[in-house]
Amino acid sequence: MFLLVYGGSASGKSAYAEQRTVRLHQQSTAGQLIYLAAMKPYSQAAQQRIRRHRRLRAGKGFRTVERYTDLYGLCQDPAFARAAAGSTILLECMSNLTANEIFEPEGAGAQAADAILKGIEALRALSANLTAVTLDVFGDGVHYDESVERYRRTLAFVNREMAKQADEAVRVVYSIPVILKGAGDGIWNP
Amino acid sequence: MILVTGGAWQGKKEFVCQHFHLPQEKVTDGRTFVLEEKGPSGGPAALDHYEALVRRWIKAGADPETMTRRLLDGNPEMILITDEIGCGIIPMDPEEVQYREVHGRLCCRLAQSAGQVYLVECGIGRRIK
Repeated sequence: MFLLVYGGSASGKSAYAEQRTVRLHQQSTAGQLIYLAAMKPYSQAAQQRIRRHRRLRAGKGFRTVERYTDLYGLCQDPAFARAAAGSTILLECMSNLTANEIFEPEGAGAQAADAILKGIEALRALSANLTAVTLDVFGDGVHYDESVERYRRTLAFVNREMAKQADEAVRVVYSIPVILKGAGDGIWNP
Repeated sequence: MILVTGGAWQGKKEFVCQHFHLPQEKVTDGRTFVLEEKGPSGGPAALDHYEALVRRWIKAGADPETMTRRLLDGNPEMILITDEIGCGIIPMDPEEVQYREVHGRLCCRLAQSAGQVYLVECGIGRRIK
């Protein structure tokens, strides 16, 4: 099962994605529950966000793996591959992963989209369930400089490609899931 | 309480007036609403631009959650209309980031407690809860 969760900042998408992922894990027979964190704790604001997400996840049985770039490489690591075999993975957030791949020195640069999608493919091959959380940065009507537009273009492309592959895609509007593709599982649905 | 959201200029207020058979005068505007007021009494019906009201509360040093509760205590049947913000690049200004966070988290809680939630796009309202 590949679930894509999409929404704006502070839309409740993480909480929704967690609930769904925990439930997918409960429904699957074996395998670990893994939280794959892509956000680099580079600033105070980022650290605050990370702390908030840790609080949200606490006690839910997630094992946290931090990885800021090259998910494909991570999947080649025997220790991770063993842990991730048949697992349920929550990957958060594609917005950070994309920024890291484009802007960080160790990132894939011009090949960011390819690297990310190759990583998604590898994660899907290893795991039983994958939830990817991604961000809507496309609705503010502002024109940015080329480096930001390149980021937006890349993230939008990655989102579209993931949505094609996804069994289910959900946009979260202030905690309420709006199904874009697939059936939904009824959580928080009216 | 009923929450109505969607992007700017999507026809949220018009949708509310039509769907809930409400005259425009019954819709209070969060951009101009007097902050000290408890809220219009006698069946206030609706408040538009809740996102602007949250911004004004923050600016005035008031706690938006407390103020919202106070607003709704007197008017539990109120229809709150808010722009769906947060669907853009994260701003550089930390105060803008904070505003988006506060507004977003508040709206999540409001949506959870709301009896109905509507998403309005291109003038078309969909009930999503």
